[in-house]
Amino acid sequence: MPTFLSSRKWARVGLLLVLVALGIGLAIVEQRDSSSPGPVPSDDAGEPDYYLEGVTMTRFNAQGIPHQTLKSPRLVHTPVDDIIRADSPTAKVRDEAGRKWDISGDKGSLGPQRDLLTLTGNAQLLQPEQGWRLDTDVLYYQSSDGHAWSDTEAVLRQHEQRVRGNRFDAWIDTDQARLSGDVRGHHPQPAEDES
Amino acid sequence: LESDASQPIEIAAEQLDLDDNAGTAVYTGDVDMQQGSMQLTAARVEIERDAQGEVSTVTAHGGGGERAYLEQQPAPDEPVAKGWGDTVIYHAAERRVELIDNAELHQARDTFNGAYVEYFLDRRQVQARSADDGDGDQRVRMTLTPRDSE
Repeated sequence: MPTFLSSRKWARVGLLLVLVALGIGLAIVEQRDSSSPGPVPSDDAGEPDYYLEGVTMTRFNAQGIPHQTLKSPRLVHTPVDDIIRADSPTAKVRDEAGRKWDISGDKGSLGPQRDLLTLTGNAQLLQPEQGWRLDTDVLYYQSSDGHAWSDTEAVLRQHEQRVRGNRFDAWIDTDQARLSGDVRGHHPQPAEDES
Repeated sequence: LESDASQPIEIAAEQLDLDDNAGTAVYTGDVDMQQGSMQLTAARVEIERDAQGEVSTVTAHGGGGERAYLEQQPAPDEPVAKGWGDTVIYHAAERRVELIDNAELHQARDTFNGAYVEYFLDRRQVQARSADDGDGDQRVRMTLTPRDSE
């Protein structure tokens, strides 16, 4: 009496079932993964030609050394002004002495030729190695000459001391900074037992 | 006052220049510095800090025809001591002040003039000397008021 199906046929049926299961699984995964794209930014600069999400952008200098890294959850480029706009950007910059500086803000824009980085809203410049931290509203960083500046009230801190001014400049390659306009410095003296 | 040395230093100025390589902080433009009862006014003030980040030396320069000026109250019941110089150097750890060139010190009812006057804030001790080159008008001149004539 021939068996209902020979063993080879059972193998083919089994294989078919596996394929069907796999197809269903992929379809489900495909469905879940397709998060709807973010709103197309309406911006007076016009329509973007591309946007990226979850971005780490690294720039290299002429010697091939990475000197600037920009991370952002969402980055949009608009061709009409050739500006990249980034949400909550955090940038790491390396100066000529190899020191790292961290720059961050609520919003950021990287201008044409990617030279001028502008941070707007809770802008911060940090130099972790020497404990410097600058807080301001709008901060500019020109990578071609390593110059960071702000025209909005700025507070510069190092450990316990702090100084505020109406304008701030820093030249990161020479490790120099300037505060100007209504400058107020507060330099606590470490308590007797600490020193 | 005795507590001055541990008080924070508060400074107002038009500009601050920091050079981390040189380790200097230079305030310029109508500089007004306060630490407890001590007050220092000058056109330019350079602050140097020691390894622990504590202010070690404050060097003040006059400008615009005005000398640098420093005042401090030695004790609650004593009059304010006042000092002037083209350059005034405050050594925080030693609590010592140097008044250099066109130096003048008013301490209680006594006055000291010369090329160089050194004043120890806590010991109220004064040392004065004339210019090395015998510059006539920078000879040491002192006016000491006898105690019973007050």
